[in-house]
Amino acid sequence: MSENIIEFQNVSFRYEADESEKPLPLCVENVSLNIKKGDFVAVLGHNGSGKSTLAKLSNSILIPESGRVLVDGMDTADESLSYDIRRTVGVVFQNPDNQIVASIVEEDVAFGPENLGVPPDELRRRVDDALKAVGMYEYRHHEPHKLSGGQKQRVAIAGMIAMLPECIVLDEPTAMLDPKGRKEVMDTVRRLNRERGMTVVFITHFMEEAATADRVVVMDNAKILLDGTPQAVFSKAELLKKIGLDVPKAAALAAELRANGIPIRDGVLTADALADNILELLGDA
Amino acid sequence: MALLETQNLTYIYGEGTPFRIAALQDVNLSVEKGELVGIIGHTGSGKSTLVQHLNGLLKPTEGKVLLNGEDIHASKSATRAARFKVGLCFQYPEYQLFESTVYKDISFGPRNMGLTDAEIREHVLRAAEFVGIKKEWMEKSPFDLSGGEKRRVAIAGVMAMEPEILILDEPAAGLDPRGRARVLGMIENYRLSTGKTVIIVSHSMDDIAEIASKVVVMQNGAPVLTGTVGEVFKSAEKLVSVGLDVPQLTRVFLRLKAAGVDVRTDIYTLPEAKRELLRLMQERGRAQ
Repeated sequence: MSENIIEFQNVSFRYEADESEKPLPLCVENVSLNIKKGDFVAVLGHNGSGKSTLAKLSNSILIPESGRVLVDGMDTADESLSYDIRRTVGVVFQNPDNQIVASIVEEDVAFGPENLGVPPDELRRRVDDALKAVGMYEYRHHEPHKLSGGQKQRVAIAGMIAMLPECIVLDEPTAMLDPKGRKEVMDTVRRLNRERGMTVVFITHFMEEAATADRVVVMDNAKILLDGTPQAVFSKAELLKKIGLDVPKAAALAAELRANGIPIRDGVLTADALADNILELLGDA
Repeated sequence: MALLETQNLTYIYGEGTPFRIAALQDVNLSVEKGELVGIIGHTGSGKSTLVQHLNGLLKPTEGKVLLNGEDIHASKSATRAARFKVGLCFQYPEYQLFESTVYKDISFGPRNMGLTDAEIREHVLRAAEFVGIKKEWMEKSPFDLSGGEKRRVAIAGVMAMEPEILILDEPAAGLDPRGRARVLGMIENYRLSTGKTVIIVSHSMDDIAEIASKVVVMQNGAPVLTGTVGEVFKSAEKLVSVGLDVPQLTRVFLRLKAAGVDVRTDIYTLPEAKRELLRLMQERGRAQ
């Protein structure tokens, strides 16, 4: 058994062009990336950087043009393994409205595991458990289309969890949500990672969301540009700005303060951490 | 006289049914010529319902909407005139593109205004320039463009009607940081060079803090705070309490204040934040 849940080995991919047109450029180019079991990995990049394609390559929705993607050792190019692969890695997409299939919340959550042939007693247990895990158990008899965006997205995540994947890949799950919905989804995903040891790959373009991951991977122009701890990645402010990304605002402020002789610790990335650091300094004074 | 004004505007969804809900309650709002007004509030606060009243799409249950002092529901012709004078661009407007070419899509609005072909062309080209649409795109299908490009074409379609007031509902939603900055910069530039009034609806204070001349914060169907960006941020705790995101930088100061430190909380830009913290540190005898 490998310690990596997903391995990208020199993976390249391009979408097919219409007939008669020139082939499209590669949107993932020679990417090698290992996702360790239990990690919370954020993938950052602007639109068109290839990050969504990476998500689709991770559970055999797309198959590499060259190179290999291994999910818990299983090659995604092997069609006979696709059930096991999708049971291992679940993908949640950006628009919650496109992911709801049933007219009652609990039926929607049951859809995936039912298709895997899970027996009724076990199915009941899994659905209840998944809804509790995302804090939507009280809504199990509600109609999904009447929920808020954040609630719908949590139902979509519950549908994934009910299939008991070892890893969930979320492709900008918060992009269409308001601040409250965004926080609900973030808190849910963090809890799943921390309490259940579920591996999380979180694709986003919000710097603040990436700041609390174990590891940040930055995609640009179909390639991996940076890969490291949030502290290491966000110390490259110039480079990030050049590719249209930014550092969290709190990190930028921390850098300004350091430049003015205030000993803010390295690696302060969030507003809360910065405020706490300032309070400590004030306490010492 | 204000350019646009609402007087005791109230709107009830589902009147006479068990689902009756007051989406707007007694809203009094005035917008002056040339202002850039940001309307912010979380989902369900009534902001979208409010802007749909401003061009007569929804008719108030009670109260009035006045454009140049005249009730837009006084007559059928007044309502029709309001639709052209107040241009409304919905959320995710790229889903509303429908024509076979970019040019035709942008020209749909001006064509309905009964302009001549030459005038339509002028309107379309002016609008296209504001949103940075390249000449080569004009004969392309809008569906071949990227998401951000489609968004700009859709916004140009409303700008091309050259309304006195341009209203955009969440113009930057779902875009990446670069796309967000570009769309907001475009809107700011449009206002500065045409002198026209713009209203932006958003749930992100970050988006509008730097460009809005006035901010209206909505909660439960009514404004709870109105003023300049600075004035609204003086009550930053209130923003948090109505479920809005405050900028990360403001959060630093809110947390300090909550811990008993005497700091301002109406801070949302980097230079200001730096100044205030350096002042604080110096006072406490550090940073020498």
